[in-house]
This record gives sequence, C-alpha cells and structure tokens, in this order.
Amino acid sequence: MSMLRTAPVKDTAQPLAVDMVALDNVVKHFRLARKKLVGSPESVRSVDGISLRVRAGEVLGLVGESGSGKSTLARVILRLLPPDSGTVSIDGQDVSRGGRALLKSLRAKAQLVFQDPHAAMDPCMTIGVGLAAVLRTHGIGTRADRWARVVAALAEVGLDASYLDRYPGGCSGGQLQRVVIARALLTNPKLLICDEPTSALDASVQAKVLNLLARLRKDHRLTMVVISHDLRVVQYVSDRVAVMYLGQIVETADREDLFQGSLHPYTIALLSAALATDEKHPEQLVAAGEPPSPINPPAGCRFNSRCPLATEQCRTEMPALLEVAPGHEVRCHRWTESRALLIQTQEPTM
Amino acid sequence: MSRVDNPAVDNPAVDNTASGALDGVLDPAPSPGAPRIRGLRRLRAWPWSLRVGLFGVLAVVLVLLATPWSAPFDPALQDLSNRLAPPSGAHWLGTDQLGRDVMSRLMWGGRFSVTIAAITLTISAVFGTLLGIVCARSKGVLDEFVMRVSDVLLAFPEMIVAMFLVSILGAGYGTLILALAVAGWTPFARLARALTLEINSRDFIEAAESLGFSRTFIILRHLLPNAFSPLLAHASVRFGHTLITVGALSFLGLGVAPPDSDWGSMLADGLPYMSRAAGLVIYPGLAIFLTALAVTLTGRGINVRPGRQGRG
Repeated sequence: MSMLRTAPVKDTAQPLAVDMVALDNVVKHFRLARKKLVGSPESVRSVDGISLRVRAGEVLGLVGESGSGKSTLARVILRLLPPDSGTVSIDGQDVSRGGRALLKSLRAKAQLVFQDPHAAMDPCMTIGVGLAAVLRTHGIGTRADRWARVVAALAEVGLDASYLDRYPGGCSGGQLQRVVIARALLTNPKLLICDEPTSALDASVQAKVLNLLARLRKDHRLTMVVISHDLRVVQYVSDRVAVMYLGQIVETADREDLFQGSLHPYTIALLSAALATDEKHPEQLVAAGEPPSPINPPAGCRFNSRCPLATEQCRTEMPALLEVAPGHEVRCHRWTESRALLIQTQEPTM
Repeated sequence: MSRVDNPAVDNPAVDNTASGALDGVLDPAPSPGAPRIRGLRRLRAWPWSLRVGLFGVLAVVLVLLATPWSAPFDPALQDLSNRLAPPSGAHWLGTDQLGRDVMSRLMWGGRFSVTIAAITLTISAVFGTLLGIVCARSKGVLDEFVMRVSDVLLAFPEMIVAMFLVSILGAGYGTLILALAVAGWTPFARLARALTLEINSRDFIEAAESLGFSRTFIILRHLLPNAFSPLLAHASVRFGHTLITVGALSFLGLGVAPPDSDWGSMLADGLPYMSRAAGLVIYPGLAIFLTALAVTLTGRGINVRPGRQGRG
C-alpha cells in the first residue's frame, strides 16, 4: 500500500517510509460459553478484519467508543493475545506466529503503557526492583550498572532516585504513570503502544504526561500508537488517526484531514460530540442510541443502525475501506455526500 | 514540574547520573535489599496485632524449646497418692488423674502438638499453594484433574481422610503428618488457585508479560507475593484447626500414643474429670487457644503491614 503524504514532512520523518506496524486482515474473536445446544457458539468479534499501517516515527491515534476493540487490537499487535487469523508485522517481522525467541525480541522492541498505572505496577514490589528486573530479563547492562540505568530512566521522566525504594501504593497516579513509561522505555523499544495513557489521571496531570510522551517520542525516535476515546488527546499527539467502530476501522486519515474533513458519518458524529464546546460547532450531531453488540453486529455497514444517512444498500452490503484521497481511507457507501449532507443539516455556517 | 525539562538522555554518560549527580539524594548506593532492613527497624510502625502475635509465638516457641531443662517434673511420673490435686507450690497447675504434673505435661505435650501442626501445615501449604498456582496458570487437563481430586477429598471430613490413611499405613508420627497433609492441602490449593486467577486478571501481570518476564519470574515474584497475605492468613487460621485435629486423632489412638501426649490428648483425657478438676480441660484448651490466637494475630498483622498496600 503506497500512501504518499500530502501533509508537511514532520521532524521525525525518515527518508524511507518503513512500516513499523503492518496489520493485514487481523481477526480476533472471543468465544462465548455455549448457550444453545445446536449451532456454533457465539463469539465477540472484537477485532474483525483490520488492516492498518503505522509508519516508523509516526504517532497513530486510535479512537473509538468503549467496546470497539481498541484495546484488543493493541494486545494483538503486541502478541499478548494471538490473532485468530491475519498477520501482524512489527518492524518488518511477522510476529503473529512464532516461538519464544521471537516473542523475546518482540518484547524488547514493542512496549505497552497502561491506562491505570496503579493496576499496572505490582503493589508488592518496589519500583526499583521492578524496573531492574526488566533489564535483567533482557540481559541489558551488567549487574552493577543496571541500578544506575534505572535511576537514569526515572530521571528521564522527571523522578528522582528516592522512588527506587517506594512501593506503588505510596505514589500518585501521575508519578506512577511516569514510572510505567520509564519502565516501558528501559528496553529501548521502537514501538510504544499507549492504551488510554491519560484517562485514569487527574486533568492537571494529563497534560504533563502527554507532554512527556511527546518529548520522549522525539528523544527516542519512537513510533507510537495512542489509544484514546478522548479526541482532544488524539488531536494533540497524533500524526494520523484511525477510527474504530465495532471491531472495524471506519476511517483513517492524517490528523488535519480527519479533524477538518472527516467523511464517515460516525467520525463526523464523534467529532461534533467531542468538540461541541467549540464555537464553530454550536450543535451536536450525536450518533443516536447505543452501539450494537459486537456479538451480533448488524448486517451490511456496522454503523447503519445509528447512521442518519443509512440506505437499503447500507443495510445489506458491507462497504469496503476505500482510499478516497492519498492517505485517507473511508468505509462508507455514501462518503461522497456524507459530509455535505450532515454538515448542511447540522451546521449551516460551515 | 521543572525536572521534566532536564532529561537524562542529554547526559551521554548514564553512569554519571547515579554516581555523581544524585549523591545528595541517597548517600549509600541503593540496593534492592535496602527496604527490607528498614522495615525491620520500624518496629513501632508495626500494627499491634503483629507485635502481640509475634510476642506470643516467640514466647510459646521459647518455652517449648527450653522444656527439657525447665520442666519441673517428668511428665510421665505418676503419683497416685496425689491425684487431681489443685494448684500448689510444687505443682503450679495441679496434677491429673494419675497424679502427673499438669504443667510439665503441658510443656512436653506442646512440643508434639506444635511441631506436628507446624510441619503438617508447612507441607500442605507449600504443596497446595504451588499446585493451585500451577493449576490456575496452566488450566486444561491438569487443572481439571487436581480440582476433581480435591473435590473428592473435600467431600469427606478431614478427620475421616486422616483416620483412613493412618489406619492403612499404621500409626506413627510420620504417617500422622502425611495423613494430615494429604487431608489438608485442598483448601490451600483452592485458595491459591482462586487468588491466582484474580491476580492474573490484573494489569501488572499483563505488564510483566509484555515486558518479557519469564513464567517462573511471574509466579515467584508477582503471583506469590501478592497471594502471600491471604494465604498466610488462611494458614494461621488453619494452624489452630490442625492443632485440634492432631489432638483428636491422638484421642482416638491414631496420633500421639501414650506415654507421649499432646494438648489434644490431654484435653480428651481430662474430660471425665471435668467436674472435679476443671483445670485438666481448661489448661490444654487454653494452651491451644492462645497459641492459635498468637499465630492468627501474627498472620493478621502481616496482612496489614504498612507500606505495602497503601492503596486498596
């Protein structure tokens, strides 16, 4: 898939646009306990045929409602969950199948930052011991200088050496999220996946953590996938944005393209809901009702039950993910007119 | 936070950060063992239950260790002219139905009771816990098999299982311990399995996996420490139970056999004389109760030790 970027070249852009993450038709379903005697057991279609590229040095924002499969996708990328089908490549290496040696190198290459830092740290282990163990596991440094490396890693996220002997219970959420980030960077990963990195934090701390991530991204030349349901977070950190709905990607675009010219009705609804306080968006266009269950997603377009533009075609035929402009993909039958129709009815000013 | 603007990556020499720049923060080179030593020093910060419990456990252990030298009488020495005597200067806790010194018998009996209970409990706790953790992490056939075996064992009262085994294998201390351990591992396996399943679902186990930690490391350094407090609390409760079970088996002639005796068999022996010399029942009962209480308090105290779980 060759996607030429029209957006201005970023400072972290590399001469060769290598794909750090390449997903091809990745599927992950979770079987439910059998309820009926006949027929195959039902399954939750958390990730249902996702193809996605994240170029090296890029920050991809992954947005979607809860239950849309964002976190599952992150786990599949990191091979914390094996995909049912499809391939996952990290840095050009297929990691969807493979044994221990492959996993070990993947663990050093790709790391995860969690939503709730208190849950992500073992309450029975001091921060220093927990971080030093990462270095030992990957055979980084000598026995003597591991402790110094941990101190350096903590200093990098703005924490002093007094945190080494602390238990996570004695730290605040913001401090612990820094520790989690420092821990994730100990192995010098190329890819950092942040699963709702700020949503468990106080509003005052969120900005600091986001700034920290932005700085570390430059310093470490990181490729990042930032998962969030908070569009402002995504707008702040991402180069590109992918929108998920019920296990599928419905729209991907460069950040400006998406925030200024989104084409999928779901994205338009999401943006107008999130940016409703903005003066430019006086009225909200909220997708009506609750998202359908990922156990029995609607036939045709997954969004048809909530879409104001749904037609008969939308109810029977699943739209393909179309590249409608360089770097801009949409999964909608009516993408040519969606924006005009929705913005016109809702916002005469635009 | 101004420190954020001072990243250590700007320092090409990483070692500088530890050896020079941060000397003011920590005088000695910090080491992984440091917090444990400091925890012991902060005796006053310990909860009262831990202090009282540990004091009790230490007292019992010391008395029982010193028994061969400090017991006033031979526990088997009978004096039929002085049966069921009340407490006196010579016999501080009186004498039993055969005129034996109750205090000496308590001290010697405790050695049997406590030792057998402790060994039994250790074996069943270690074996049960490891089995439970392995079951929870492996799932599948092994888990199913072990849990069904434990179902069968749990279907019978512990006493019946122990009696059955002792009567097959023949009486003796080794058999007794084996029988009690076989009958007693199931609650530990079930508890450890449940705890493991719960801890496994928490983020830090996923974090450990994504950081590349080995299975052994996750079990030994993440699962065990986090499951330790509830397991210890359970073990401390089981200790009293085991003390009594040992005594009951002794009473039935399947445990500690005469001339040896333990608290349980003393209690049982004293029952017919309860109206004339209540002490024969009260003292061994009190010994079991207080020892079990001390162990339980210690277990509880360890559970609420500060610093570890500042947040729920």
